[in-house]
Amino acid sequence: MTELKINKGKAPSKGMMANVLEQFHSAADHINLHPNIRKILSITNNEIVVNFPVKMDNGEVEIFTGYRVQHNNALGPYKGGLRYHPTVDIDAARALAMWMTWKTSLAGLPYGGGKGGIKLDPSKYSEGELERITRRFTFALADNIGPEHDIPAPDVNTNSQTMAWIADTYMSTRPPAERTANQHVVTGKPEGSGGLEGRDRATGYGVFLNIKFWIEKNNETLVDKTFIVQGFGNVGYWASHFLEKAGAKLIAVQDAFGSIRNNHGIDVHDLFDYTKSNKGSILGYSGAHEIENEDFFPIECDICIPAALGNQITKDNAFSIKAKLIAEGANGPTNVEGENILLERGITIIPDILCNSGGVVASYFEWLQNRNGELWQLDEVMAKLEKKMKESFDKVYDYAENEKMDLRTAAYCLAIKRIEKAYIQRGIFP
Amino acid sequence: MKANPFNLCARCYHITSCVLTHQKNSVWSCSEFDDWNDTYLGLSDNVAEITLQENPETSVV
Repeated sequence: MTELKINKGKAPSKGMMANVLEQFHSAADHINLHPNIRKILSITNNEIVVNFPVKMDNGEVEIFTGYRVQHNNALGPYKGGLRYHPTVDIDAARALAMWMTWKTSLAGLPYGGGKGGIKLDPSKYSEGELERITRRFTFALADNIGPEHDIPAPDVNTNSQTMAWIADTYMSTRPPAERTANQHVVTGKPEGSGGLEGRDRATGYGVFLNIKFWIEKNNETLVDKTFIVQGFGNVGYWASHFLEKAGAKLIAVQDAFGSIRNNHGIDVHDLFDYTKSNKGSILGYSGAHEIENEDFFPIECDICIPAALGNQITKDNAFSIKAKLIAEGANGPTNVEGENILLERGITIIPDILCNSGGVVASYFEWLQNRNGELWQLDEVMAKLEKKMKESFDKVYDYAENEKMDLRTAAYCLAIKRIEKAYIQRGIFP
Repeated sequence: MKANPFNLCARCYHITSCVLTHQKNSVWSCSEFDDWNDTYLGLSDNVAEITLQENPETSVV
């Protein structure tokens, strides 16, 4: 019943990731990328579509469609998330897979880029049904994923439980003696099942580290620096936590419910505890006062961390931003027009592809931990993360200085150059 | 090329009240996305429980 269809060589769609394609071609022009390698990187290697049946709780059988797009594996196995959502399709996966290729390359990881998911509305299914859907999807993908071939991770509406089901199913399809050696087929697993201690804070810690490295490069200190955060989810919270520990002061937060401000400082943990007891909302927190939402980005501060969603800094508000540094915790928070205005005004942007790469680096650590049969302690994870993030930051910063370009262009140039080098060294078969 | 239809907002709990964006038709990544996680994902990201049989059919001798 399972239909497996593999398309070769489709051009990635414009649309939501138009910026990524534009950045690729812009960086490719900067580094004078060889035309043949530009051709290779402009398309996806493999696009897998599987239609698979799952028995529902009421005994009926429903057919689901799952996707996995593998953009490029010149540097190593494909790596990227799996999302469950009614609007998932091959175009979404294609663009996001391409973006993962640049991200893993820039982070200096031995990975390529992939992305996938299942088109479904999760709210319509019981947990038992979701487990069977996940397991049947894993079985349908078969050897199109694997610990040395393509390594999925959590994404929208998937979590450590989903990854545990995938790992268990994949391992069950291996010969008995090989099963435990395949645990690293996915990352983002629960801590008790091969997951990495500290995975929860890795992205936010990475955002903090990038800010810290930039401050150090500018011979300044984080003590008494003021910062604002848009999005108080996992990334926004942990970035704020580490910044506060380093002596910086959180003075404003914006989430889906509204915006709050206190120039004397907002206690990060106190606010976090409050949101937990207030259905996730920051509004009504006694340690700050509510402000108009449009007054959030223009707040006088040193550091602005957009850690929620894309297209937040645009031509409409870039002129009013007072921060000296924008640290992109979210994906694509600054659009091209907004960025041009910020750069003209001398404001530095630490680009998303670098700034929020702590998560994928932690995934790499989990993969290594499983592959080597080790269990890493939290302090070890954090130390290794800092070392890896420092290497990436320094490379981007130095390249930008030497080539007199902004950090985002430098990041894309470096990411693409690393892949180009692999192709030049290996040549094209046959 | 066709525009990509992927959009988180359509299924987000905050769609009517969210103050973060007016462009609720092309969001592909959001820290505030809150779909159905109360029922499945769980705020604590708990792993499902496994129920053990009281009298397993096979026993270790």
